[in-house]
Amino acid sequence: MTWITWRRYRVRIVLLGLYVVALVVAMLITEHAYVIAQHNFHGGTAVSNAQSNDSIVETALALLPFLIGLVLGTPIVASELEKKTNRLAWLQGVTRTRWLIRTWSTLTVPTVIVMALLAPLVQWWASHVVSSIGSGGGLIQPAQMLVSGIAPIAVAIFALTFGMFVGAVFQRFVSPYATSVVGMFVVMGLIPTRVLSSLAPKVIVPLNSGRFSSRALRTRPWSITTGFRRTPGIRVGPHAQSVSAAVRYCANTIHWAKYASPGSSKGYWGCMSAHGLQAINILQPASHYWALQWREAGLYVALAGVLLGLSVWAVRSWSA
Amino acid sequence: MIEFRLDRRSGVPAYRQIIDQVRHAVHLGILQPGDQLPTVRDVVKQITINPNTVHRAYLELELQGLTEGRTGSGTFIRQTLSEVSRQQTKLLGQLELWLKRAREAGLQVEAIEALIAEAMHAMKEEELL
Amino acid sequence: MTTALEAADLGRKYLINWGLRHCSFEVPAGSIAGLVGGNGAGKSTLLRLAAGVAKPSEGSVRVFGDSVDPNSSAFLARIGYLDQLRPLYKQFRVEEMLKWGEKINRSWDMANATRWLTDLDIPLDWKVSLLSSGQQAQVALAVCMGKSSDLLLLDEPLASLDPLARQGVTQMLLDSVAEKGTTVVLSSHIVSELEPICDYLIILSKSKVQVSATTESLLASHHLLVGPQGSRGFDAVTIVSSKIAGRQATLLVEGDPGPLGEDWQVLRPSLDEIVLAYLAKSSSKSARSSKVPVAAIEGEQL
Repeated sequence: MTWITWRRYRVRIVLLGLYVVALVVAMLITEHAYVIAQHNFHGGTAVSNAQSNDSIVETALALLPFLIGLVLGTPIVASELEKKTNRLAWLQGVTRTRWLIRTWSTLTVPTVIVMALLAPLVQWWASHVVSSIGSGGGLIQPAQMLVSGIAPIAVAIFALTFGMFVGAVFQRFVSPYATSVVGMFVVMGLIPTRVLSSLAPKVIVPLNSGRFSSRALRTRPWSITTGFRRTPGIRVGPHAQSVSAAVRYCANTIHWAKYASPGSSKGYWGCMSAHGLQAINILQPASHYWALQWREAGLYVALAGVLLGLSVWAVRSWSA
Repeated sequence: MIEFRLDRRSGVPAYRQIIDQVRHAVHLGILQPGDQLPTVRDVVKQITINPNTVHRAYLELELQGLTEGRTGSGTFIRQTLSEVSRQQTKLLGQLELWLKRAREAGLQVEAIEALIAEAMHAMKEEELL
Repeated sequence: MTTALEAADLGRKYLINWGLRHCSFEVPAGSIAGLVGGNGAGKSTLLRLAAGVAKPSEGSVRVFGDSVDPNSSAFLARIGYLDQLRPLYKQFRVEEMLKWGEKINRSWDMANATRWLTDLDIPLDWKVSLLSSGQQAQVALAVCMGKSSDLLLLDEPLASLDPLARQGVTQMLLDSVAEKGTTVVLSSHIVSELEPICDYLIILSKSKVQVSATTESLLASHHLLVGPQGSRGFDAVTIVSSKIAGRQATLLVEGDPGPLGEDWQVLRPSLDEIVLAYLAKSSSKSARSSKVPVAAIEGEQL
């Protein structure tokens, strides 16, 4: 099946390969430009120009799994169903199961190899670059997490398998290609925002405490959200029954007078601390980077496994 | 080597036509004892015909004693095709022609059998049989 | 005598319509069976069910005694299927299409497949998309037959082919059968294409099997009776169809009518006439019962 898959996919594989090569070249160029800009100008427009180029490269990197899913994954079954060549391919010497798995693995193995080779390069490149998505964000930021470390390898496997699954299941009423893009967008949007933060124990620190804050990209934490924490025992008045009630109470400027010293603008905070509420930052520290990476990768691979099984089932049950 | 022709409009079944053509060829000397008949594959290249039909024709020729099959080599006209069996072949052909004429005249099977029985009876009477 | 393909009360429903219903027949191994019927009669459905491309809604279909399982490699190895659409990878060259067949199949007859195509003057280094539709049909069949299967299921392999291509396809088929003894089931709506090569016939009409028998027994058991209309009844035969023209009746019957007398001609019908009679019979509004005297069906129109 290797020759067959190569022959069917050769144009697509070459195009994707060129895309990857272009990415590598772009990374090298922007890194070089950035270093020069830093060295010569220590900031200013040259550096920000370099940074905006970096964001183009970062977008291109983030697009890679979508392209893998769309160009390699979806056509596996979709192109056969489209042209009805499945009535040819699925009646030869290999069973549908073996046909699907062999085609999938012939495409996935080189993808994994290429992504694995790309990963250290991306890591090196990303660690020198300030993320343009969310200022102050570090490597452990969700957007970076998707693109750096070993996660991209797992994301690529997932994207390919997801595309294949969509192509196997959606053919009659909707375009499998459009559905692939939308689906990948949803999953790869949901996981970093909803799921990722829970994959390792969160750390809670008082806001502005200075702990975990860092200028260096490598050690900057991921600030998931801010909120309030109640010091146990203190409750002043009925308006402080719950955190949200207290927040509402203190937001009302009328009450500030009670808690502020004259001329101070810190009425809100004074009010809150009087009620025993402390402003906190919920974050993932940079030290959790690899734990999160492995678990994120594991999650994507597990999803890919499920989708592979579902694709096999869909193809086996196909009937004209 | 004999070339077969099929007349699909004659109403004669294809396998019969092949048998007849082989017998005819032997009768005319086109096929000599020891000659090989074309393989089924070759026949199928000459005329559009079901290979099973050719097999059947060849089998019947073998049963009639006209040919013999040598495994691995093909079907051959019998070397030991004696004068008797050659005559037999000729007579069989003539008989078939007569039967055809009888049928065309409107005789049913029973009538034909009756005719033959009558002729044989008459010959016995005249001690020609 | 082994049965290559056997159907028992086979049926397939598409949403509300039955593509095929109550179909039963047995195709003997080694025969070339013709599946004949009009468009929409259910020929494609039947072949798809036999190949495992579609799943039966009721009844069963068996290939060499085993049930049809499209996910079993043992089953897949025994059959070759050519879909009506004759799918090919259009961007492949012809020789790449053959190489594809070699790579995806365990047993592949490259020598014969190549020879069949070169005998038909098909350029092996051309892209499939550049070939005429007749040539593409020949390539599709070569790929199907290169697989060396025991049962070939071919959906209208001769349809829309120019006479030369048709001849080429027929030649390929017969050569393969002559060499390997493959059982072939091929469908067509043109009986004259099937008559020279088929020794078994399945007549499909209105999604049902009307007749399934060897062509020899069909030809032997059916007679065309021509005579004066209304003169007598026929008890010993089943009347398949009748035509009245003025005072003359032409009946196609199954069975031996026995001696009929002077004013009746007993002729041998062609296979075409037999098939047409059965197809017309099933589409007529009134149900015909056997042993109906001619007088009673006077005035019947076809």
